[in-house]
Amino acid sequence: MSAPTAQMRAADPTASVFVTANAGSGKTKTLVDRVARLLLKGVKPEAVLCITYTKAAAAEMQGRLFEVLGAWSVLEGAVLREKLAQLEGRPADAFDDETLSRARTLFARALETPGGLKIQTIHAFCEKLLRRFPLESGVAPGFRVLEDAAASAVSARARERVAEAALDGPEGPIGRAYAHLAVKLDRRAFDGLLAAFEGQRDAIRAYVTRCEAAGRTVADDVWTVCGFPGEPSDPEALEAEAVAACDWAKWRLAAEALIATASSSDAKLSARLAALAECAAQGRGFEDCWGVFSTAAGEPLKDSSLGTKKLDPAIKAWLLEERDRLHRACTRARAARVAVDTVHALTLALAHGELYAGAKAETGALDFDDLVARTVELLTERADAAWVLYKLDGGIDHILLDEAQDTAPAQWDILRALTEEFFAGEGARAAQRTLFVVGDEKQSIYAFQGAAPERLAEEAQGYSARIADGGGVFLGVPLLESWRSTPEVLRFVDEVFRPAEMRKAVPPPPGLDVVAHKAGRSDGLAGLVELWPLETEPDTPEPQPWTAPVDAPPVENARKALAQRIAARIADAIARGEAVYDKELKRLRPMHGGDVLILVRGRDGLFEEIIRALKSRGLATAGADRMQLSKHIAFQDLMSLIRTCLFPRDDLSLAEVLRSPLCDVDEAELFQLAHGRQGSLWAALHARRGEAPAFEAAAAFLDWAREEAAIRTPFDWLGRVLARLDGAGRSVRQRIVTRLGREAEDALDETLNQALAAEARGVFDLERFAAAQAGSEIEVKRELEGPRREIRVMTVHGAKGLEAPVVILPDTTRTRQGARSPLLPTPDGGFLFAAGKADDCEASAEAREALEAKDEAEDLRLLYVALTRARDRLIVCGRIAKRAGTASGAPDQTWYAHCARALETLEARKVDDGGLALRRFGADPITAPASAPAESDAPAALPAWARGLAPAERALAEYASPSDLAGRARAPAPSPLSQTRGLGRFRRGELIHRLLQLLPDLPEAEREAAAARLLARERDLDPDQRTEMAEAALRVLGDPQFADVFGPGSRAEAAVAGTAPSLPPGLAVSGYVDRMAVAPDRVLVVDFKTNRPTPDDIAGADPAYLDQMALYWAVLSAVFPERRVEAALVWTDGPRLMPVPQAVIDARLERLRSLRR
Amino acid sequence: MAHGGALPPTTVSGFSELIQALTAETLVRTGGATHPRLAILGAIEARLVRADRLVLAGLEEGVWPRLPATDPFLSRPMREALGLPPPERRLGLSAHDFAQAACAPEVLLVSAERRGGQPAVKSRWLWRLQILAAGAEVEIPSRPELLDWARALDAPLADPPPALRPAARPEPRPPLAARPRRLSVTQVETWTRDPYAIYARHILRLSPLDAPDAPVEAGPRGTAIHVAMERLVSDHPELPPDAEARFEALLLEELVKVGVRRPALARETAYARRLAPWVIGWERQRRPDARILVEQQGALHLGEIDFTLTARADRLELKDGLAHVIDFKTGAPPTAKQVKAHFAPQLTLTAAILQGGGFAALGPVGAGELLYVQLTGREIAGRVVPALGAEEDAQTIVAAALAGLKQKVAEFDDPTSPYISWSAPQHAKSWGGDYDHLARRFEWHVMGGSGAEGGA
Repeated sequence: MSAPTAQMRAADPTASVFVTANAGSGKTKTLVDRVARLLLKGVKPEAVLCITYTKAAAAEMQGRLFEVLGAWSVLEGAVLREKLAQLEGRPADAFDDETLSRARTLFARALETPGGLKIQTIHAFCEKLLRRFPLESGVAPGFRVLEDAAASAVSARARERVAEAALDGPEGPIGRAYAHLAVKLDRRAFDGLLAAFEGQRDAIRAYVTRCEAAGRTVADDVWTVCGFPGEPSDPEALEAEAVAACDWAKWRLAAEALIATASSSDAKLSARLAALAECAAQGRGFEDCWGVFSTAAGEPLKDSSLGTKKLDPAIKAWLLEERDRLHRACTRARAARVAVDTVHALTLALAHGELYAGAKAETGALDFDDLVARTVELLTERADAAWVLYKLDGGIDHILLDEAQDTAPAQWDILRALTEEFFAGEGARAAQRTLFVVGDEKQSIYAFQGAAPERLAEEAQGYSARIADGGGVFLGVPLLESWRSTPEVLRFVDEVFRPAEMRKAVPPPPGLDVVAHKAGRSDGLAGLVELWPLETEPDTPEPQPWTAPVDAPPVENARKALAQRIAARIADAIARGEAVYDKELKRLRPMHGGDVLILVRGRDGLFEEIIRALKSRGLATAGADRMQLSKHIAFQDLMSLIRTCLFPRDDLSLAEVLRSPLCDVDEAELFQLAHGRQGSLWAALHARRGEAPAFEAAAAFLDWAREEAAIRTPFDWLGRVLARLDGAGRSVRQRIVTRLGREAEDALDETLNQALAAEARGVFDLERFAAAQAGSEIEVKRELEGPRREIRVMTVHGAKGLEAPVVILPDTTRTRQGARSPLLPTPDGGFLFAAGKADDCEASAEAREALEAKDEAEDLRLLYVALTRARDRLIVCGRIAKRAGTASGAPDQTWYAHCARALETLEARKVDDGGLALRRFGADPITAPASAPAESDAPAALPAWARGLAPAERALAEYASPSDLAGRARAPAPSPLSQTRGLGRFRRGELIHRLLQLLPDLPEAEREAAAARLLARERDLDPDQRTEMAEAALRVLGDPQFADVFGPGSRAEAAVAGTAPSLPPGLAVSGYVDRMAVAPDRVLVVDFKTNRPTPDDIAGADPAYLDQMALYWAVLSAVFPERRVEAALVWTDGPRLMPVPQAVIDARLERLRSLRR
Repeated sequence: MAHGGALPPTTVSGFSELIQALTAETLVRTGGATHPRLAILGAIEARLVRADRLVLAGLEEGVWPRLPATDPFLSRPMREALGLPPPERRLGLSAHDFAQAACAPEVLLVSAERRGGQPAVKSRWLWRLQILAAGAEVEIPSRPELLDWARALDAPLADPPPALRPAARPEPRPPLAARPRRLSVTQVETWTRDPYAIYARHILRLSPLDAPDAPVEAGPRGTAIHVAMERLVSDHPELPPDAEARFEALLLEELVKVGVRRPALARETAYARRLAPWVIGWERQRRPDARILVEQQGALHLGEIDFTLTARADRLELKDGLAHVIDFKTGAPPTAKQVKAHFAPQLTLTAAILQGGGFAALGPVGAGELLYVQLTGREIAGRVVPALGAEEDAQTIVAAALAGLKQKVAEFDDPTSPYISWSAPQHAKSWGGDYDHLARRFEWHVMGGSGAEGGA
């Protein structure tokens, strides 16, 4: 038996462990092993909580755990013993039979964990907790969790309310703040600011609370931070003051002195001084004055730029002094401006926060941030965490936290609350509870979602001390082996992150000096890393407006060139059969498209260009990993169809539908229809439908779609549209996908999802559906994995957790991430507003630098994640604008530069690859052994019957209730108001109806008294009315002809079901009659009807009622062939009993038979 | 509902949420006519039915079995202490449903890998079955071809007929008789960038229709500002002392007229407040000694090519024998470079019409300044942007613009000249032109179908 490996030590269930795991080091396996070992040790599955970062990770872990435990449950003793020995690193004979049989039961126990295994995301955990404790946590029971789309609707509502509040009180604080910032920022930036408020609302709230706790307002604090303690200042006044203090005589003097030096630069300065000195007082703005002494970028001019050596030293000294004075004023004014803007922004943020909370409360909804915040509150303030956990499935003894580097501070707080008593040292229990945290600071790329990578090391330290104090065992275990990448790729990664400045952002695990990966793969394939020269931007000729090119040639640019080079390289590698190592087959095989992962930083022009280049080379690609639904043409086609159905005279929409795959009318045919027409395009299409098969098909399709649109809900309608077959048996969906590619499938599916979601919100018509979709910006995340062997192009963020044999990084020359919100968080938890560097005061510049340093660090971690996705090889390439390059080819501090430097150190060799002078580290690509058989995975052919429409089935039997079958009876509903207006006729009818229902069940002698009691409860009736009604009801009950039906042995609500020879063939009846009695010689059946007014005779009765009675009669006659069946209607409003004569019954049956023949 | 008095006051949307929550709780069984041989039933109903072939779908945790509802009052341990049945009891019933159904003569077990965009976990019974079968070395037959069939049903056609191939960039070549002989200067500007838009509007006569309730976008807002500027001149030939306030009111009035909703008005109010002083200041500068004509129609027939060029000038100012041309923009005006390169010939061609006497109210008159006036109401409330740099020779450029137009008309008088979509993408303002969809731009540009080539 060998020494336990790092993975084994990490999975040791008796210790609490903090693991720092390199990329590809088998983190998930370690987690699964640990859970398995905990269960083996006898821990109840419900006492284990495992928190993962995504739902996908949770599902994967659960699956892997079931696989492991499932395998145990059916293994033979010796084999199982060996497995367990391997898992725990103990000798096989340490496992007795009892342990083995316990191991075999774990699978079933885990599957049937009461309440389910707790392998879930933090949000799922919080949601469950809050649902269990709605009262304790103060949330609405049955609250909704706001998904992104719904959250954006709520936030839009909040924004509108902020605007309304501003409009209602333009001179109030909100109104002034709103106007100030709306003017200051452009439309997008302003909307972006309001959106940013949502993400920062808790931090803003906390800032305000902190200020108030310190006994001052936020405004006081902001002004103090900006350098105006106690006294707000007006930036314009500060500037005016500085201008007023200008001594124009001195300016003139300086201007003259400068002229005298006869230097051209002095002369320029002189002219600028003089111009201001001489102009009218109102023409002198501060900007102008300061402009004389500053550069275009707003920096103060250098000493040397203010007068040449020949200048009189006294004048020079004065110039420097004047510069400094104005610079001070400029700085002060800027700081005041930052303060003013910040106070306005925070005012707006607070208002927005309140209105947002209000909008959410109205809908009883919580968003993801709320889930976490409320849970923290529940566990730390509102209730005792231990009690909460006890009440939740009897407590949690072991916690496992995955992806700890991306855990946000509030989530760490939850963990702290949950583990509060774990290590409190209260007896034996402490030793039986453990915490397991796995993460990799190097892979923290979710700062924008609040991740705090530095917390990982801090928490490890804190827990180490607490666990040791409580008598538990704490281990820090680094997992250094990579089972994913080839040694060449790993050496390259180590080299990229070796320099000290890289290590600050991408820190080595505790106890190590440098980032180092141990190659764990043993397949022997030599990997490689390639660096391609940068593509540079070519000269593009200006297009000519008047001489339009006949076929506008594509614009050549570096982006396109790079995309095409990548596509060519992949096509070449696949054609040559370059080898990759297949993890599943455990051998080399020729590469296919599914082995290639192209990682970009954002979905911009390059991203689109690469997908385009791959497609035009005929390479199968999975398309974009996210799509903007409203921008996708398949979605737009469906929206145009909706508009056309709603507004047939919307010619442009109709034309769009005609040109779309819904109709496939071509450009020439559209001209034929549209040009020179009189009236609408719709009319033209219908008038000329005979002229072309495409017109006929389009007109038929549109007529059908329009008819259906009027009666279907959006989801139903869209489903039918997509499933509709054309003349050749192709569905609309198939035609769309054929023309627009597989990617369109996701657009269609998401459109259907939207329709379904809209219906859940109560949108049941196309017009409102289309209107709701018009302004929405839904982003669809597409699943690119799958068996289709398609090349994947995605962002590094999207590729988290993925890997591929070949990884290409084309987007390596960016220097900075996108724009940030102007409301900058300061390092000490405050906020300052400054739109850009040029607006910064000292404090905000400091805040900005801190944020930029964080961004840069995260950017390097993103590089680490990108590089470590590669299994066998890595290709780094990029493009560059002409002027931006430095000596090394790319600007410093870009990914490309870092990679180039590493390859330089590794002495990568120069290779000429078909005219491309690249650098290569590692082996040259080899082709896969020819013996490798090409797997055949041709999909099964669709049988012919599947393409046709199923033939209509002849109904064998049809059950129908007589009331359905006979058509809806026309009984007007009583007005709900009628009851309140004294004794209307409706009221009387209803009361009698009730009497007729209740009285027959009583012995005849008691009926009168019961009727009196019943009517006595109706307080507003007078005695005469009561008497009249009771008599009327009793008269019906006593009608000699039908007395039996109300007599003893009669039944209410009798079920009648069956067929009869006198019924139409294939028809079976199923229904209930109000009253029935079976006597020795006859069967009586009665139905109550509430029609008003009561018809005079049977001919006046609704034929539907007569049909109904005829059907009952038919069935009962078949059931009781020996007895006479008699039917009657009771009109409760009369009340009046009206037998249905046999002749009428026969006539109705005859008619029904003729109808259904 | 009957005891609504006990509820706290609610809002309209809160009430709607309440109703939705209540209706969502109610289960409606539709029943009714079904297929004679095919039935889709719930688990309990299915117990009553014997079928030759049974398909058990939705075998995922959370669907089948459905997870027991969270009880906010009693936890599992508490229920146990009180002697109440555990919440899992229902799982047992559900397992019974499954076991009974799974014993039909022929059974298909179906589970989805993903549900609602998230990976799903197979039902516990499937896990058990699979592990059990594996242990007994029995293979559960699978039907992979069913998935292939399902995919094949809507799969793209391998060899599509021409009509179903991805659309290429359109290049319609309509007969000469169909081609427009009359365009405005702004339409000529469109022509230089996106000829297909001219084709769609003037030859196919397709124009966009505003959907009811559509949010008010840049277009109507621009209209409102234009009308306000026009009314400032027509309503106030002499500027009153309180012109600023009047203009502000005028502008807001027009914005409401074009349908700007209240929330958007908050921003517009702030803009109007800043814009008014700038506009009035500018007016006071421009008005003296000038004859101001607003919204003038001009047309110039170019005999040699039989083409009429029209213009609608926002504002013409007659001063010192010259006509200054002013165009109001709410967005960014074209750069001088674009004007000089004739990708923005609106003002240069308007000048050509002026010189040719195309504005009836003025007769032939030389063009003075060509100005864009950008009106935003933001920090820089307004800005005068000369269309051409000071050092440019306006005369030459105006002449070149007219000559260029003639050349373009002549070129399109060749029946083989196509109206292609997006001929000069560098100068395209942005996505979202009215005719991008009709031109199938996404189809040939973004999706990059067979051999189609894109622009920028």
